[in-house]
Amino acid sequence: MSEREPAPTIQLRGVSKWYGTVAALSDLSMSARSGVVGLLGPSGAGKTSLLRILVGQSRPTRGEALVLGERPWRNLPLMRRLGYCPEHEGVYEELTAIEFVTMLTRLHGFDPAESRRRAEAALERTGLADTGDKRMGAFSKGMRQRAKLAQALAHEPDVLILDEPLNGCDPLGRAELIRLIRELGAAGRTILVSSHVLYEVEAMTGEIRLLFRGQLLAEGNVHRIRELIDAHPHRIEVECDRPRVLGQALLAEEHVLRVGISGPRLVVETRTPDAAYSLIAGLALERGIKITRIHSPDDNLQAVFRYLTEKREEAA
Amino acid sequence: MRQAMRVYAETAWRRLRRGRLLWGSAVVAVLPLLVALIGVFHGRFGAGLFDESLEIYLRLLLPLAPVLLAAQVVGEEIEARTFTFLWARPAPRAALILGKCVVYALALLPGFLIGTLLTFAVAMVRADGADVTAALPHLARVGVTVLIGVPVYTALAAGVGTLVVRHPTLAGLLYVIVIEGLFASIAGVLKATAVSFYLRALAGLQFSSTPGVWEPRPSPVAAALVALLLGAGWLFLATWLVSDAEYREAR
Repeated sequence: MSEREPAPTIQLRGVSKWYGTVAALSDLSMSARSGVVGLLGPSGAGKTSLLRILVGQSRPTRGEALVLGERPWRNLPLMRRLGYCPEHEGVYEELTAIEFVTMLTRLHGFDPAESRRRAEAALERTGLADTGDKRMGAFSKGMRQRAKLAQALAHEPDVLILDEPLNGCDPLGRAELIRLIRELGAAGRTILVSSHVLYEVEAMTGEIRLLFRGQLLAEGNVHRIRELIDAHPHRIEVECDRPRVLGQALLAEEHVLRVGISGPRLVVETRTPDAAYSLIAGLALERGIKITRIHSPDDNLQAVFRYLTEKREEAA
Repeated sequence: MRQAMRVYAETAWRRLRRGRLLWGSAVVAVLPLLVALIGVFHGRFGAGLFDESLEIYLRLLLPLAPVLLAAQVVGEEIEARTFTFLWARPAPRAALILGKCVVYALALLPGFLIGTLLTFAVAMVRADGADVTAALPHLARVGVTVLIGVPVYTALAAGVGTLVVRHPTLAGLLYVIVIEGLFASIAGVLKATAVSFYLRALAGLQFSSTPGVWEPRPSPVAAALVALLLGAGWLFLATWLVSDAEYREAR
């Protein structure tokens, strides 16, 4: 007999959120269990609107959102078990990081000494132990992110909601925070982390939800999503001095599906981008073609989402 | 609730001490002293000069300083987006309003009380001992007026600021100019909408009367009660509004 699957920590049933005539979320249903779950979507996809509903700062216009089996809006007992790291950089600039985290931890009912102890521990975990006594007005964007993450962790919540927590972090800080988020997920917490950068989410978790224009576009394992994305022809744009010559040479190659010219720009479509990049570089070198810029608009998440939306519309 | 209020109050005090707003409000609080000084330089003195100096106090300055501090009670959190941290805590939102209002009122009171005392001292500097002694009960009533007026206006500013969260200080200033300034000066029943009307009654200041126009004349005790009720009403409105509001981050 198989064991019953535990109930989802986060559950959304037909959730819609309207701001006047603008729909931020549209009939969204999804769930998340313990571990790290990535919420991936371009700007304006509705990620922040969704997270604000989950932390009780906003009400769904329609549908039901449940966290740990309860509705978050005006649910103070539930707030004890939630940690929230918002996207923006706003902090109390007159306060030091230790004062900031201690103050917010005290709002959970801990006494001042215990709150301070927890704040110090949380700041140490996020790598701010040495700068805890510095006023946050002088903090860099990356340091603010760490302080914000520390305030979400200090009371040791069961569920962590992190909105773009890596924004503004330097590469080293990014790696440290990714490691921390993975550790917290491995310890059994439910962590919903939003991002608009696919590789960031991939580094944190294999479990993702793709959100686009307020709707759930795809969900599941990140590798499945990757395959879906990889099946889509990849576009490479090359700016060079002789695009026609390079285009003709590329047409004969098996990795290239299509070639088009738009002004000084050569547009190449391929299913094997790595091989195509090498091919373009090799042919340019061989024929003395000067390449000034080479990039792939498909690396932009927006293009991937556009593709997935089109695919869904075709299927419909 | 009490612990959350305490946390918000301590934080508000810490931020106030490190900011400039407190000093600005303190300067406003001692401005009547200047009015009294100008009067003394023009050879005037006594209880009359003290009352004239108080006019500017009760109609404008006493409401103005709390507006500068307390109108932003929620607006500053929205502007700085810090409300997102606070509302994600198991603490009633009303505690933010109450905690901050307590601190703002306590921070303003010493400046206003000292300002009143100094104004009295300057106005009475050339008066003889008997006149000063005779004016002392009036000073006590003015002291009580300030003690009641500062928290009432703090609550009023918090209420107006919570009602208009996007431009709270501007809304507070407009309220003070129109209701506390203009309405309080117009003959007739409109006076009764201004807190300053009740505070003048409590302080024992003269009312101007217009023949044929009925105006309320509350006793000092009734005036104090109505002023306190108005303050409580504004505070209730502020806490009720903030408890159920769905704020969006300022872009």
